[in-house]
Amino acid sequence: MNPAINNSQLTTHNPHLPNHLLNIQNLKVSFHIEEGILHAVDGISFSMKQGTTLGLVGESGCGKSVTALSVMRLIPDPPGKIESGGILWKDKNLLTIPLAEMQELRGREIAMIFQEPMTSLNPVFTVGRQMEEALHAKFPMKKDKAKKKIMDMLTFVGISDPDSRIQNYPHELSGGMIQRIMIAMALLSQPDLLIADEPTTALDVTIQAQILQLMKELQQKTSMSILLITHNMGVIAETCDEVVVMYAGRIMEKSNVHALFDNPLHPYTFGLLKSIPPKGVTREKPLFTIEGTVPSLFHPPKGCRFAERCFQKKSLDKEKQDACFNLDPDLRLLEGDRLVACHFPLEKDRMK
Amino acid sequence: MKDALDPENGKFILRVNSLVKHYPLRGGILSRKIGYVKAVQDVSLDIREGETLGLVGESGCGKSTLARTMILLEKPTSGNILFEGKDIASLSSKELFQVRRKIQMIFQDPYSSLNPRMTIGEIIRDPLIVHKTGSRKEQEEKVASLLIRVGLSPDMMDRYPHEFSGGQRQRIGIARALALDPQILIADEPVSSLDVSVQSQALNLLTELQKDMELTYLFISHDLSVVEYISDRIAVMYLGRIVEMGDTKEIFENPAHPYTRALMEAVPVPDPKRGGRKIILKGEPPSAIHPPSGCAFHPRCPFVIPECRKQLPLLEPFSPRNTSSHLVACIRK
Ligand SMILES: Nc1ncnc2c1ncn2[C@@H]1O[C@H](COP(=O)(O)OP(=O)(O)OP(=O)(O)O)[C@@H](O)[C@H]1O
Ligand SMILES: [Mg+2]
Repeated sequence: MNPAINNSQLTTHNPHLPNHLLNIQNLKVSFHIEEGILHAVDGISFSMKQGTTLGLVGESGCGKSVTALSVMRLIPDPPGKIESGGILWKDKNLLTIPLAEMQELRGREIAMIFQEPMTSLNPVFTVGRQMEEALHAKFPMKKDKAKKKIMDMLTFVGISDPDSRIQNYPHELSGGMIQRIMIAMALLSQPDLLIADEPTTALDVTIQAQILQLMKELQQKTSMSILLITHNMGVIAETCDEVVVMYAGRIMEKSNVHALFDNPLHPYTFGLLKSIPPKGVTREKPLFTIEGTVPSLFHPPKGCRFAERCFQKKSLDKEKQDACFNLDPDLRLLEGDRLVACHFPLEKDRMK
Repeated sequence: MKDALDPENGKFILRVNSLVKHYPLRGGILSRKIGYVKAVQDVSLDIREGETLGLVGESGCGKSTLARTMILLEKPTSGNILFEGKDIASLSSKELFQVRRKIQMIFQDPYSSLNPRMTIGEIIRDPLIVHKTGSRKEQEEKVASLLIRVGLSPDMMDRYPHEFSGGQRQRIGIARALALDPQILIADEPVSSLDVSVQSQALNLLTELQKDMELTYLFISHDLSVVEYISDRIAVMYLGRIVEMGDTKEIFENPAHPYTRALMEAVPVPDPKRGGRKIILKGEPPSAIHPPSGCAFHPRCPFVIPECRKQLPLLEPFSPRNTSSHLVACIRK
């Protein structure tokens, strides 16, 4: 079992890091609904380096989309409310700049692809018209110039025959095609940051591979940063430089992708990785499971939010278990550049 | 009629021969028939007693239609379906009703497949009422034991679906499917909407149930790692046809069809050390209204030769060595 943590390994996380493009600090977002106050995101901090891909992963409902929507300042208010925190972008705080400035910035500097692509296009207008309007709103230009820009971008994202595609209505196109169009639309303005919320979850694996490849190519060409939301650990492994693991409105762990898969520090991360059917294993061998279900976000537990389901606690003595259930673990620095919110992080080589 | 005991393959429980399902496509103001969606085209396969047959392929390739037609939730356009050696496509509706209880289905979406206005107890008991099985008391006892069987508690009986998590709702769906003691369970993407941590619980449960209740599974999924884990054999479908079929281990070690290979190659691997992909399939599956000539995969196939456009490949043994177990439909194999 893990020995008491060496004090010299711990330092407070300094969020004011150079060349960090996006810096989220102690963000709290809640929804005031009939059943009570739902604490969707409950004090998270992380930052993102320019030109990299950061993956945001975690169970359904853990607050991934709410985090992304907060960056765009698109949380519906009411019932949503950003309770506190800051979102530093370049030298601005996105939560306090005037709304007009935020609207100006949206699409130009930060663009987002939404979880349900079909619902983000208007069914009664052709794809071409919607792209033109989106482009025109940000960069007024002559019609034929705009059209050429759109055509080039559609070709770039792998749409063959763009001339006829732009005359289509959204329902006439496949999911893969729509997703390409959404990416093309987001890229028209060459944003510095692309937020992609589950961009491939609804797609088939062969189309998913194409889209992920496309995003990687784009990044190489433009040094755009990508915030990629997914719950697929395979997608994370193949596309991300860094990973933030969320659980019940909190960050459990942040790490570079290699260290995360080799040596997860948080038992929740370990559980996520272990639950995937391993290659070559058959059903003779039961899969690893994380027992139980996620805690209520109306009344989150006071200690570690994962403690109830944590497999590790069984091997801890009573005193340590009390700590898990009663003391809220801070996100702290470990192994140089990794962050973990666990009183008793896992030792190396647990994945073997 | 053939004997249910096929010496080569062991005992099969469900067999389809040359199954075809076309949906008429209507259009224009008079909504005239303007063509057909060729959802299932000439599929022959058998499901052996006690096995799990995995059915994989991309969305729209006909997996669900094949399953639904196999159990006559859809009327086949042609072909026959043998359940325990009897052709069920020609049964009267009364006889079919009796067969149905032996073949049950669980669905992808644990949210929409449960009636929100019925309690959990009513939902699970419903098939027992429809099939007039047991007294009220016996039915209630059955419901309680089923809830325990799927890892829930009998005191949840009076609660409603919205009070449960996705994983719990999937268990409720499984309990309902087991109410009539079926022999075959058709699971259509049963774990696709679940988070990985809940998915592994559901897969373990399905495996346990299969062992304890001697169930046969047809497991439909687009997730190859799940199918590899759960299945004894795999059938790969592309545009309404089976393009490859065989033992799971054999298919994963020696995939013979270029589509199967591309599909495996496309699955994101949870290992950041693994290098880039070899084959990225271009384009998207073509329409099932106007399938390409010859091999339907030829427009996307990296190994296409002119012959592929002309000739429809038959599903044949991959190599002369293993005559029956590994089948593939590709002239370039
Ligand atoms: N508009 C809203 N009104 C009320 N509650 C909301 C709203 N949007 C989100 N929530 C709640 O906030 C919590 C976090 O939701 P969020 O959409 O961020 O989850 P997620 O991590 O993106 O999940 P998924 O993987 O399912 O997309 C959930 O409990 C959700 O029900
Ligand atoms: Mg989301």
